[in-house]
Amino acid sequence: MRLLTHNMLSSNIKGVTNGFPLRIEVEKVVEKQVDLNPDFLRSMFSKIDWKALVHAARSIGYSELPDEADPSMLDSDDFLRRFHHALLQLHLEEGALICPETGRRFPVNKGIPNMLLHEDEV
Amino acid sequence: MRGLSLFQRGPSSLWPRRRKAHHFMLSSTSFCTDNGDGLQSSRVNIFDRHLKRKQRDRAAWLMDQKDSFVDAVAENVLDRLEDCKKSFPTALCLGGSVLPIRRLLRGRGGIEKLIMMDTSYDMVKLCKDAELDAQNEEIETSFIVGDEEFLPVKESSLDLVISCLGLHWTNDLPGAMIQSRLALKPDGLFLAAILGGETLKELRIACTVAQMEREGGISPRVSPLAQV
Repeated sequence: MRLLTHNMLSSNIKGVTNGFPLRIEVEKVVEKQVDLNPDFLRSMFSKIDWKALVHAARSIGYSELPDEADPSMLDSDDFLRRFHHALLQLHLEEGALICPETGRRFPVNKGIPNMLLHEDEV
Repeated sequence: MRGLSLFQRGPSSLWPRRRKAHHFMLSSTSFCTDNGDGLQSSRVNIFDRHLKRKQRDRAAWLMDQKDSFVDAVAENVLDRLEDCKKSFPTALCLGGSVLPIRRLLRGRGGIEKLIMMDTSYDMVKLCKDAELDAQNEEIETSFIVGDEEFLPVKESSLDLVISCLGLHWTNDLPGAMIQSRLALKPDGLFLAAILGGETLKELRIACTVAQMEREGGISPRVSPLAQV
């Protein structure tokens, strides 16, 4: 699972009002090479919740993203490279996503997060 | 296909379109199992979702990856994307026939980021492992296991929600559609094909007659389906 996906997921347990962003519990992170596509990154930038991305990247051991970002930074190759690396090249292969409110674990297995709820949670 | 509907989040909310008459698909209009407000108040769970998930796991092991019926439905759904001038950078594909949707997409709809979601882990895994042609590789695709009745996607984050032959198994179809609508940005598109109405009517009749004759009573053998 890429951090791009993490950035869109939220906890959907009944009664949870603020299920975003999910915390990450890491067991295994893999890095996969992806060609850098500046246009894709620029169009994604506006859709990304930056704080959640920075936080997620740190929790899986990548801390080279700046705390704040604005669209003007997209002109910098160095920034694009870091953004690209965090968003697309780091994969959470094994681990879990944790609901920020209830602490419920959603396991991530072979890169696929399992967001299914138990019967008592719906 | 009797009617395969799309709705757009915005002022013009629903416009069903009719094409040539096949009998197997219906529009995703409201399907309420109760007489309540039509929201999430359905008390009766028609489908055992846990069992359904197991069935879908099994289907993933056994299924033929190129089913011409499913392909025809998926092709027909995706064809609607070509009718839209708008492009849909972020798309979510709900459970059902996720694999054909991914295979047949062929760059339509201007999708840049695609999330494939199904309730069955094995189905998602199959889709992830399937080989794809070069055209689709440019789309950033991610895979999650999730339930369309409890959509794990944050609000206003999608441009397109697409579902091919999956929503007829939800217990709370209006609820699932409401959640899709919430997950969509304003002017986003919901595109779905479901089995409905008189699908497999002959089978239903045959089962009823046979059971009456042999056992003197009837029990449901074919899933209840949404009416248009």
